[in-house]
Amino acid sequence: MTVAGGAAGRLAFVTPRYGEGVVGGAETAIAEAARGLAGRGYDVELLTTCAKSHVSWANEHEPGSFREHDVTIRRFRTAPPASRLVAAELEGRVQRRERLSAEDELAWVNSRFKAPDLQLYLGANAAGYDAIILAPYLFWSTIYGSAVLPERTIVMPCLHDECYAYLGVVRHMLESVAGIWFLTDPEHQLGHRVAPGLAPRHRVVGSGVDVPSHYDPAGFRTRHGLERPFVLYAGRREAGKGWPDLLGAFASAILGGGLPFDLVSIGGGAAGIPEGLREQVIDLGFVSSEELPNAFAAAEALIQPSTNESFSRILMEAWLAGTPVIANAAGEVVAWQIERSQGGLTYRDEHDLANCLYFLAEAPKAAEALAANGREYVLSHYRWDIVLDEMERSLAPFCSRTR
Amino acid sequence: MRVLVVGTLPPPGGAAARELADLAATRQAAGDEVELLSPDPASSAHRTRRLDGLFLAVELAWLSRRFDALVLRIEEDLPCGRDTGRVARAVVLGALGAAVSRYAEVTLRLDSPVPIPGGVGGRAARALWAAADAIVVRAAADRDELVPAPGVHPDRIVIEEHPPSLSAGVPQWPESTDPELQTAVLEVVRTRAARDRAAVAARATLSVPATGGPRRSQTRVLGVTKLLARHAGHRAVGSARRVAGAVVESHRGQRSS
Repeated sequence: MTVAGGAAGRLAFVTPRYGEGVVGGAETAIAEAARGLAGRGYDVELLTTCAKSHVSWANEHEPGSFREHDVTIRRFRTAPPASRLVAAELEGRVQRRERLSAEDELAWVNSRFKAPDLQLYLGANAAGYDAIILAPYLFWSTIYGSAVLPERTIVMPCLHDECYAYLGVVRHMLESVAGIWFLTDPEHQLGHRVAPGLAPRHRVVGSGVDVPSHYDPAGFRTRHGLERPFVLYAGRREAGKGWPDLLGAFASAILGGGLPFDLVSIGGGAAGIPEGLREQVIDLGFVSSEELPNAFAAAEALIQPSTNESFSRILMEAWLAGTPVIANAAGEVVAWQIERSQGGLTYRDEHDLANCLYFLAEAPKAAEALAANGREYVLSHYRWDIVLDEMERSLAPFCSRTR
Repeated sequence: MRVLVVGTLPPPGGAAARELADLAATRQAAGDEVELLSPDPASSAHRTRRLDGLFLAVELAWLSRRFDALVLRIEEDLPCGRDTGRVARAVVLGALGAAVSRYAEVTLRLDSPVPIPGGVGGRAARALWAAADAIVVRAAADRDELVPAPGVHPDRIVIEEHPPSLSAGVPQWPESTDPELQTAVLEVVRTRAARDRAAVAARATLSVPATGGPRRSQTRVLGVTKLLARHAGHRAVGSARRVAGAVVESHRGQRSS
């Protein structure tokens, strides 16, 4: 192939969802990586679906292509699963960690959404890319896309230690592609457990975070009518992200009395706040990407209850905003980030959480000092220029073939 | 059951105040409607009022129309301060006895040593002690002081010692300049949390008066699952359910023994 216009290389990023309103760390990371590499002279396309919701996978965007941030975005329609009954039955078997045949595993992959047009496009054009980068691991577009031209494929799996990670199709994918980008050391170790014959060109590249130039915490409080100090939950309100568990632990913590904090929640999904908690738990729903940094800056702390994280971008955003983090100790990745950064605390149950909150209330200067550690950690490890350097080093063998 | 909890409450209020708050939390988790009344305007209580001297009796009498149960922590200046004279003390305790007897269930929690100057009250306090379904004291010496007092039912006295960590004092947060700040903070968090777990376990076993037949509170707390069912699908009450579960188990144990 030839490299058009002297570009550093021609790259295709493939992710199931893209665009404003899409909440998801992997989706955000891959979109920003695409833009960052485009800014460094790569010719970048991003292939995605027309879906916004990872639940319905309905086609909410128009199919077609357009340019955004120097990246060509190509959207393809999703196709609904053949049978919701079969999908539910397979999902149950996967959740129960039953051993599925290869056919059943593929049927499970097909049972949520598929994007045949995307696959057709990739099949016809794969040879024109130096590298194809797919994320995250458990979606149709990644598993099927990785089989098109595996010798030029890099998977950014965003692995979580969950039942899906141990499927045979996932292991096969991680062992057959040319490269893997992990976001953290714990995810890298999990990769070895899931796929002992991991692709040899794998490395921890991390994920970058944009550093906002300013924050407006007072404006955020005013715009949203927040008069009391609050701790923040940012993410999808669903069991897999620990939201119901956080509600329970927070309820228990404030029942003890003496805590001056509300819990403010932002993100997608139904918040489902019980009647008795509606004065202390405030749901702001989705906030714009411009407003998000202000939310982090206005909070007394970010609470991260999720154990299913491969990087946990919101930790970085909170630390950049000068806000400490309180996270579920059972989350291997977030506990690792917090220990390494010295930027927050971990809790094991509602009693730990309550006392972490008392710490915020009773020792604000020490809490500020933790947050300062966190900010320094992000600036040292996860600025985009650092992460893009690492990605470029990984891409060099792929792109050099075309020089 | 509608429960009024009265006493100094956090923040900061000290260890005993946090214990009282824990107790209120346990009752609430078990399905009771709990309101907190505190003399400290800075506390987190639902209501803050002047509660020294006769003010306490007047307030309790007024609120008795709205609450079934009363948990009253008797502490310094609530209702009697060190300077309260003999006559004033008699009047205050007499009025307090009349006020608390309007509640269906009364728990008195006494700081140690018993913070009533000049003794536990003599005849003037008879109605107060007689109205109590449970009198929680901190030490055997306090119990011994109470037993001879008029109106006291000795079998309603419960000795509830502070957990060891409470007696040792609450560990303090490290300075922001601590070179091992995160480790030091986590150590305090874990220590305090362990104490809180112990306190909740202790509350679960102390929530029923030691004497008499089954009481309304028992049947109500056993119906806690009905209350929780209102929130079916909300795991938000999971923690409350666990606390309530401990209370229910405790009651089952008592019924079967």
